[in-house]
Amino acid sequence: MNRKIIQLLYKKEMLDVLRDKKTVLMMLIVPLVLYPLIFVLGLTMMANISTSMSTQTYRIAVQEDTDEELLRLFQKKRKDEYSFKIVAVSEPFVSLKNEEIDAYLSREDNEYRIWYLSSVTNSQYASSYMNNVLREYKEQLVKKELAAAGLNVEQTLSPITVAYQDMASSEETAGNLLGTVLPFMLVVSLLMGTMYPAIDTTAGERERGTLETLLTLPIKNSELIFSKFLTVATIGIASAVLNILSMGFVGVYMYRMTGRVSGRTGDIALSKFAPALLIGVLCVLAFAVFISAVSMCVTAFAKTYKEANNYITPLMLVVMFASFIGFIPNVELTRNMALIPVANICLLIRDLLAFKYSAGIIAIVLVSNVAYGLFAVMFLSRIYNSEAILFGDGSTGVQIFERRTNMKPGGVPTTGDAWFVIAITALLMIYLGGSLELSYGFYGILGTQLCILSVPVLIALYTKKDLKKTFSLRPCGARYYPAALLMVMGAILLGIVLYVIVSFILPESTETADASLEVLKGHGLPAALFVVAVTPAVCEEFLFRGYMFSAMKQRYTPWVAILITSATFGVFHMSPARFFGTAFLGACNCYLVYKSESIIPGMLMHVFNNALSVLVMYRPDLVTKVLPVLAKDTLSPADTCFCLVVGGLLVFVAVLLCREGTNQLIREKKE
Amino acid sequence: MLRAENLVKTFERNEKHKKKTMFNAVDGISISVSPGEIVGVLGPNGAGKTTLLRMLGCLMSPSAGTVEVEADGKLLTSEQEIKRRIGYLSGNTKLYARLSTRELLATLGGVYGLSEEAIIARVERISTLLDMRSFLDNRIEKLSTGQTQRASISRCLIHDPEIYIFDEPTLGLDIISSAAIVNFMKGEKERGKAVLYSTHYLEEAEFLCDRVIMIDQGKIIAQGSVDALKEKTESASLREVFMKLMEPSGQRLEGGNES
Repeated sequence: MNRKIIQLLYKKEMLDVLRDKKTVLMMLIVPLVLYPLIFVLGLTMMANISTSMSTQTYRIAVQEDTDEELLRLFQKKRKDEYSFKIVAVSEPFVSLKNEEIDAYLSREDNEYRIWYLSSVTNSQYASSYMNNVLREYKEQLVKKELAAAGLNVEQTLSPITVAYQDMASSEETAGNLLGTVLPFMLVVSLLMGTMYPAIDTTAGERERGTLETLLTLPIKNSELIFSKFLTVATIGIASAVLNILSMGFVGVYMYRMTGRVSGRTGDIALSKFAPALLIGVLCVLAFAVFISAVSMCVTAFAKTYKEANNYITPLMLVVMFASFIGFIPNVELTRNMALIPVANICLLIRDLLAFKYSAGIIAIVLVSNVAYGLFAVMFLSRIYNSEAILFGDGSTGVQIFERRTNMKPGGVPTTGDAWFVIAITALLMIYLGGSLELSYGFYGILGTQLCILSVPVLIALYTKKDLKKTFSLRPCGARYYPAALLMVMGAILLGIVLYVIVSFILPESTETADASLEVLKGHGLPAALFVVAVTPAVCEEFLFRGYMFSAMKQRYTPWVAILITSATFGVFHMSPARFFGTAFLGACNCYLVYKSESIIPGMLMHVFNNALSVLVMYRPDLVTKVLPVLAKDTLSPADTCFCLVVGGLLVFVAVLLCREGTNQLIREKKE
Repeated sequence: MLRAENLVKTFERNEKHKKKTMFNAVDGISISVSPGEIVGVLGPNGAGKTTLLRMLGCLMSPSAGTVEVEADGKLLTSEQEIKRRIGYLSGNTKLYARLSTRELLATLGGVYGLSEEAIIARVERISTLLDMRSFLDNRIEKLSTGQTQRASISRCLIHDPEIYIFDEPTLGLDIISSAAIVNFMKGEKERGKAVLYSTHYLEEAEFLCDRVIMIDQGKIIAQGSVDALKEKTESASLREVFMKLMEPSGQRLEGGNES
């Protein structure tokens, strides 16, 4: 990458974006006008309404035989407070329904009943004020009784008193309050700030026809993407800073106002927040890097504004959902949590405002955000294909939304279809699969697997895809059978090494690792093998190495396709500790499916891998005899080295077996 | 000198109710343009002119074949190197509406690696050449069609390229504006530049081109000097040549890949 070119393009992009009145207005108006307006006006209005409620005169009716003393209490004049006007009505319930009176008091012996309408604000207030009066009346009665019995009224009614003493400094209280709201607002304002420039510099550029002009220049994809990314991040940061400042001013203003009213002012030392603010600024920068990169990854593939908007809406929902975590009490920012984007920033800012600092965790959050962001940008500049975006044939869209009569039979799914299928399957798996497993336990797993199989197959049928091609349903060459066996054994051993490394870095994440096999208890080995080894091997391979991989392979280079598919496969298993191991195994499966052009080796490997974990549970003696490292709870450095060397060797031999493209040669001869 | 050998570009054709089929928008075209020469690319809509020019300008990578440029006694084959020697202009290369022409030229000059002084001198020359002084500092969105077209040409000139590739540069312009562009191309030819351009205006091509290449359905169907083609087809004008050569292929599908 040429720094000067990036600088020039960045300058041009900034000039272009900043001269767009819409962007600037959006950037300035929301924080500088809208926030103060909403807060100040909103709160003033609320205050006015509640004052008018508490000083109003309410029209009520009471039952005829109501006690004189109580009536007097109702009619008592209260200074600057609510008052009651007792109206005589013939049919109190009808009057109440018609809102001619605000509430009605009935009495049966000692039981008083307040009739009101919870759907009418005045009626609500009237009922609660009436309750106050009744309480006062009750107190009077009690006092009278006590005095009659010759008891000391004060001592009998309140033998002890209770008082609260707050030990938290007012800074801590304020920080705690801010900590729940601020991260959410910050994350959302940063996202909003980056969304528009992300769309404008990618889809907007294409729509305005300047992308083709850019293509005539001697610049690389990476320079193009990086300069755009810098622009989006700059605008994002600028709008976040404006938002924070505006929120800050509004906050200070409100604090002063409420302080003046309640009589205590200026007992919060803002200087105490200085370190939190400093680290907070770093957080904003790191998060800006992350969110700009992610928004760009989403919008870069859109051809029009409209398409980009469609793509970014789900992203917005996910980010907003993740940033709600700050509102959940007792969620700790652990090292694991520090790796989860969006949630980590929210929790860190919350902790900072509560004066909790941990250098290690701060470092993890900052570094992980920047790393994810840079990785996303690098990935984007690698796969960004300006030619396809500019002159492309639309092989990215989600085909299932088209009219079925317009779908052409044959071919493999588009990447858009693949993501759609993955999303649908994931949702089905979580909701339907979850409830199936809850109600049917062991055999519920079969239901989950059926979802995983049926979604891609049904959608492939519906979109008239070539099933053989989509799911690689072909026989494979004889040498792929031994290759698959060697490869899976190697992958398992290397997976152990990866697991050791992950548990070293993230010790907390490994505890739940084997909980998924608990459900097997009480079932025979054949049933366990069928449900846990064979079924997932078939179903998951159909989804990942079949549907998804064929779509990705069509669009990207084989390596990128393998990377995307196996990373998704890793995420799909929803266990951070096992992510790398699973993704690695998935990548090995993908490699063999790619080389053999058949799904069979992938299924074989999958069966073998899952069967092994079943065997570890059912026949540990057998496993210990053959491969002792598999049954051990903790691995010595020597064991780890063994796994690394032997695993590496096995994978290497398997790759060698796949290398010379004899399979392809055979097919060419046949053709 | 710009040279391309056996260029092929394959696209997927999306037709309703039919299986996806592959077709070659450009099907094995070899072409060369020498310094001091204007070559015209002619052909009906969907013949593959734009795709051909895009591959020559390295905006699109060919499915097969090579593009190379010979300059200063060196043979350049890398995309970036070739792009440095080419000024590419088409109806689709729009300008940044919110920048002024001067800002645009300064940015592009920098990207091409010119020094600041060189850019200032270059902008000075170009604005005199194209008579753009009066609107050099106005935002491009405020310019008239003719002014915008001149700004577009100035964009291709900033790095003083050896080769110009113009895709229908006079399309939709009035007589005065298109005359200015025709004169500009003639002038650049005299300065020893190689010009390759496509057009539907056959009279303009007849007046301007040293050589024309007629393509249809991705293939060259005739090429040579205007006079040679006239002689070969016994025609009085280039228009007649075109009509005679295009007839045999019969009815044609409109559309293709002219985006």
